Amino acid sequence: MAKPKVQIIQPSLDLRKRAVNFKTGFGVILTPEETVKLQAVVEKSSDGFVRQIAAKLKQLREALGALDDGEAPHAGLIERVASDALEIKGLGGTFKFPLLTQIAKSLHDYAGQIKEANVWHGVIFAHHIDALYVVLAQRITGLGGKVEAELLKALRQASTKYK
Amino acid sequence: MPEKIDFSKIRFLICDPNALSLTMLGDILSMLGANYVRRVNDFEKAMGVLKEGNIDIVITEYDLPTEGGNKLCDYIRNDPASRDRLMPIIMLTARSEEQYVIEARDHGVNEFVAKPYTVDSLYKRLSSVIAYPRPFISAPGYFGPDRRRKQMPFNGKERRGVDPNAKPS
Repeated sequence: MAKPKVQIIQPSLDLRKRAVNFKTGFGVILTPEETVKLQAVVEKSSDGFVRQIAAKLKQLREALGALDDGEAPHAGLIERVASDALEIKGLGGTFKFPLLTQIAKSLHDYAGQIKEANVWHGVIFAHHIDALYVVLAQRITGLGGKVEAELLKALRQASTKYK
Repeated sequence: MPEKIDFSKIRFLICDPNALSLTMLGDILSMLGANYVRRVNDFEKAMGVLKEGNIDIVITEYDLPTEGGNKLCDYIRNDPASRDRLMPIIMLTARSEEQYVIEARDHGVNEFVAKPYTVDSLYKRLSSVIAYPRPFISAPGYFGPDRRRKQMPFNGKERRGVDPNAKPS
């Protein structure tokens, strides 16, 4: 039987020919000045980020608060928590809130592994959301200090205990 | 003299369901000088833009309603109607775990950037697909950029008929 045919295709140099030059544009390797210019674009979006995430967290907290005593979060709410957490995870670090990314990752991982929801899942969601809100409200950029590290550890431990 | 990239010569399609992410990425590209940036927030709209043509680079999220970023890659790389099967695709996603990287690579993305990203990390990938494109591989079950990134030393027996290091006589 003939061997399956594998072909190597040379890369298209069309974009290179069109865009790479020695006169105009940004360096193939960014200079520190060019990096600062681009970073300014991110900083410009920072306020919008804080507003958007704060609104999301408030809505999630309200949705959790609307659950009756002893009621487990329903599938739609779990999905929403997971989806919002993924979004916050993806954006936090870009806006210099890596702690937000870490807490959101913990929440996303937690929501993603739930097979049969119980009341504890809602409680752990709420703790994560409160922690995210505090980081945002206090504008804790960077990874924070000892207290923040302890908080993250506690959230992870709670997530493991109440699977 | 160092080489530069004139981004005004390149047409972008950016796909992200998150409005803030989409705006920020669009603004970064504009700051770079790109003046043709199509922004979409779902798969159907992305397909519409691709079918029109006039796109040079796609930057997409993994989580793209309703079909996902990988399906978009499949269309570009494998569909007979695709306008440019060699089009550079950058996946920019919050799904940073290894399984997603492998999945995206096997669907033919050129570069993978995990969110949260820095402008520097995004730029390196952009610069790479424009200035230093990789060869493509067409094989049964795969069409996309060469997935081999490293030249690894091989210590086994040479089974090829000719010595690849031999000097031509």
